[in-house]
Amino acid sequence: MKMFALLLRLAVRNVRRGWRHSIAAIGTMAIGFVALATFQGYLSELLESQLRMNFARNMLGDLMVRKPGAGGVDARVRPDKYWLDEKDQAFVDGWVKRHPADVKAAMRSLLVEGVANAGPASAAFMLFGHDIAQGQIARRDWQWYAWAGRPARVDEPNAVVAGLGLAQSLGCVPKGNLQVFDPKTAKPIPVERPMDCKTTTIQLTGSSPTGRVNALDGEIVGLTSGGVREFDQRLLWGPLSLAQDLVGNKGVDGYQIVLAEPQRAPEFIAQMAAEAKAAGLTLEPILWQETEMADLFRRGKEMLSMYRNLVVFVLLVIAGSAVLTTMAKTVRERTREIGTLRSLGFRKGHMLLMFALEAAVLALVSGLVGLAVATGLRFGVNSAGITYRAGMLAEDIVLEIGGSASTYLTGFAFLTAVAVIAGWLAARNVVQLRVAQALLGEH
Amino acid sequence: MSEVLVDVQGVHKSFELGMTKVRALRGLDLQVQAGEFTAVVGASGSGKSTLLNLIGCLDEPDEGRIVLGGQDISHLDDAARCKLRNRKIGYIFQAFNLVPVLSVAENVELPLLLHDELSAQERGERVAQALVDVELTEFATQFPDRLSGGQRQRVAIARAQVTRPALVLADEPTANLDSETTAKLVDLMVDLNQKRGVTFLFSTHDEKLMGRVARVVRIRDGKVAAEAA
Amino acid sequence: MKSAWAFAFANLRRNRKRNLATVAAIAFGYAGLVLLGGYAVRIERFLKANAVFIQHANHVAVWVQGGLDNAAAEPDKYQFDKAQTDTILAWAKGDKRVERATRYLRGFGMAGNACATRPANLLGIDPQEHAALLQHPELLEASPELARPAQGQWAYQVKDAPRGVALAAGLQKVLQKPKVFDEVRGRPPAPTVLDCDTPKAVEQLAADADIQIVGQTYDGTLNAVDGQMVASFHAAEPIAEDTAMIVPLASLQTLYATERITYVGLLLHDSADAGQVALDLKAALAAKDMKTDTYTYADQTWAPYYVGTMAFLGSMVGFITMLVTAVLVFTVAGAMTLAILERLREFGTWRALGFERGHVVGLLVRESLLVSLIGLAVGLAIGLCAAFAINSGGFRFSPPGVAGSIQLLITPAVWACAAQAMLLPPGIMVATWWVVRGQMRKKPVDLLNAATA
Repeated sequence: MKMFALLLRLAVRNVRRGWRHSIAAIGTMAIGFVALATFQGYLSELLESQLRMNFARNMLGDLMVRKPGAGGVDARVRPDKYWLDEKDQAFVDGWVKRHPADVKAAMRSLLVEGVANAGPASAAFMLFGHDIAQGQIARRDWQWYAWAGRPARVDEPNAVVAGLGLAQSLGCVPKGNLQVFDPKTAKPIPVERPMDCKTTTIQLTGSSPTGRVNALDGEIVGLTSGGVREFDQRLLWGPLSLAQDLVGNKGVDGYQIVLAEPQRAPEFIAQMAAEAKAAGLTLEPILWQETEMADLFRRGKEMLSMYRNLVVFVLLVIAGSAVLTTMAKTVRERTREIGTLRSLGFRKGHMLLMFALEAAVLALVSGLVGLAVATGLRFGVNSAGITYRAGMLAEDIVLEIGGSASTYLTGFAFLTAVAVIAGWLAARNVVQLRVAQALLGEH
Repeated sequence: MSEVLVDVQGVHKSFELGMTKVRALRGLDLQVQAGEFTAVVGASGSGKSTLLNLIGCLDEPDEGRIVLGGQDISHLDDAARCKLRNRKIGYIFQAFNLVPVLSVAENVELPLLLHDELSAQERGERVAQALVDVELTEFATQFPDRLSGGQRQRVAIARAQVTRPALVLADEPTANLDSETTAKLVDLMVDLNQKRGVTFLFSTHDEKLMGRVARVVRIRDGKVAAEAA
Repeated sequence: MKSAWAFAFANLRRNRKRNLATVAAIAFGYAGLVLLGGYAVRIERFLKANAVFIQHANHVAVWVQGGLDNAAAEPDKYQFDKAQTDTILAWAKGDKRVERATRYLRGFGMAGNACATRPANLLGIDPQEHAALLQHPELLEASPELARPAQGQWAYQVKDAPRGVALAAGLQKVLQKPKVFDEVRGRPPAPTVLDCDTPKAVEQLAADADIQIVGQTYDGTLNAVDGQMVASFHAAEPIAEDTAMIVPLASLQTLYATERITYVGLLLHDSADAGQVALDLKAALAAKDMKTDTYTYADQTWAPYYVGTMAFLGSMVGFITMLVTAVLVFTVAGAMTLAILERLREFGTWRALGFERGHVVGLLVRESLLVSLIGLAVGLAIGLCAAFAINSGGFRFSPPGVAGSIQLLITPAVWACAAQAMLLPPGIMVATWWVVRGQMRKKPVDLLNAATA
């Protein structure tokens, strides 16, 4: 331990003494740290915010309950085969009742496709029928989701909120240029903004599994954004009863369950699956992230991770090269010192450790410089309120860079590992010299 | 008669210098008794430094044998050589070779850090005593770049004998010093030799020092040419 | 100073190890940028081809003013009649920049298989005009797989199916029509009335490729046309996999009982002319009392996925390029610092011989420039070799928003490689100048006695 303390002391003092010669290496590693921290911070914040938004806007639960195979091709052809019937629903309702402290909301939903007509105009719709009251809880902090008009209320059996694209097809648009978003929260400001509609009453036509056509009136009370453009052109949010009446059936596609402790979802999934099996029911409790619904999110994450990994790889190699150059010079200059210490009885391993520690201290200093710059950059960017549009998304995203202890620690760890390896590489040959040779400063 | 501390027997040593092979030692024989104060004298390139390096376990002979304190040190492994250098031998260099980022006291303490049997307090006491011996107590917290050449060499002397070695080797310790400082330094080494009984073997090409040493060994062309008491 | 470049080059051999390490760092960094740039170029070409030819944005599109927002709700008011269409086509024919014009009719209907109907978004296009788009060299170069249907052949390739329609693969599955026209040619058609609840119905539905399309005429009357499914395809957006359908223009006009078209798309000989062509067309039509909106493929409103993705990708690539360049500049600055410190006595000697400060600075800047140029050349070679290896590997990946997968191709473009390469040498030269000028302020005697040399 005292040997380590001595070598560390030497390392710190040598870095302090020779900092001018190490500026380039420090600069390189600091930039590497800034890049790592900023990129990772941006990536994690983007994914986290998209995830939060998906959860909230689409009322996704911490766990879903549906029939096995509900996400497959067959379910699109015959959706009725995958509906939860009354017995299935009674089981899930019973499970929810037995876990009052664990469940914040249990929202049933039924997706119905059909045709909407408003006078001569018609368009395809996807009606997401759901329990309105439970849905408001599932929306978390997105309870005001109307760009114009207002959200649907519990006591309105025919109220629907339409996607902006669909509404436009049916002759209904937001009126005026009132600001929708609060720039700080990136969510709609909770006030009722006017709509301009040829008619707010639309005819919804759907068909039952047996082919019987049902037509009902819906009342547009608000307009919303579907997030993704193509979804926006077909979206309708409405009460579950409306969707069930359109298909003439009391079945539901599934439940979205919001938990008091989301991290316990896997535990509840296992529990519910076992209980359902014991009851002779075929149900699939599952995490949203494991379904086909997360496909776009997953692919986006993979793509951004690929960019991040490329950046990290390139920067680490270059930073390692910079440290290697600096350490090689340092070792050369102190060849005689190595000889002296060896003459006093210090071992080769001690010498290697000394230079590895010196490289690690260099990395630490660089990391601290990088941390200061990364923190400043983060505050600057986050305060600037920059927005941008990305790919398929219908709205702008606020550019934000996150900063977590794990991100910074990962950056430190990477840099230190690279530096230590570079320090070892730089010193290993010189340390092998005969002591007498080292004392002469020869190589 | 005191025991033989160092016994060099027929030692040969050569070096590659570019395309040339230099034979530094050519079958050199030498014995040093415990407690002696011996100077090894010779012209530049005569083999003085090479001889001290071999005795100090800083290098290995090509042929021959070196026995130190009854132990054959000619071809030991690295761990054994480190232990010998730390426990039995002290070294004083021409260029002082102090660690610039350590203070005077820390430089003197350096070899003691490999002595696991000593506590921090015991190390401190030894360092303090070593500094008293070289009259540098008040400079304990200073760094080497603040000291004169003579002071730096005294620190090196303190470091060399703080482990209480059997043998102190000094390779041209006064080469970078003025004559007054040289005289004082040699007096210090003689004093340590007489008070503590530490065997001193040092190389020099300064003839003026001959009168102050008990034994002079002259080396020429890699062999002992003459001896004088 | 004579022979300065030769002298600088000779000096590079003095510390081979360090210079090799520096060259390697530059080469590695630049190779990474070449690959990244090549990937971005590939994606840009793919997305542009996808937008122009498959999403039918063309290079320029002209709509009735307000039509993009309102044509779906008021098709009678916001679509071109025959006379207006002919005016646009005549202008396109007379403009040398325009390669060809394509008419489009968009609408909504229900696709049925005699048992069930599903909502369908219908795109009406003349089969021969569609052929010209699909056979365009720009599309075939960027992504030939986009030009091919997932199953079957396009309508223009099936001569004996005059009402050939193509369904998105998801819609095909939902309507339970696994076979296309070519695979059922000659078989007897399914019975007109099917008992849809029996398992036999699935077999009967699969026996033919007949599709019924139901829709409303613009005056509100229900109408229907028949079609034969000649092909299935993957829709440009995954969410359209269940609804997209391509129908002959004439069939759709019959369905809606109209001669109108929704928009005209123009393909240009040079897509760089798109902006100007859009402006000229709008002005020309305004002169004939036609109020229109014109869009190019680079308009966010008209091609949001292409524009949005490219903006994002461009920012990403730009950020990474700046980062890597900054790191490389620091790396070379570090290497030059060490080299300079080791050679201080040498510089003192030159100064003693009469060389001026500027000569020494100039020599070192030349050395750093040579190191960076050699590094760039090696990096380019490595990047191109790596690109070749990747392209030969046949790797596929699924970018977000694309149904199916595309081949991972790296297509380095000269302009991209040059732009990335141009950033590095100036930065390195400035860094070298900064480091060496500080040392050159010292007196020659101090340089000669430098301890670090």
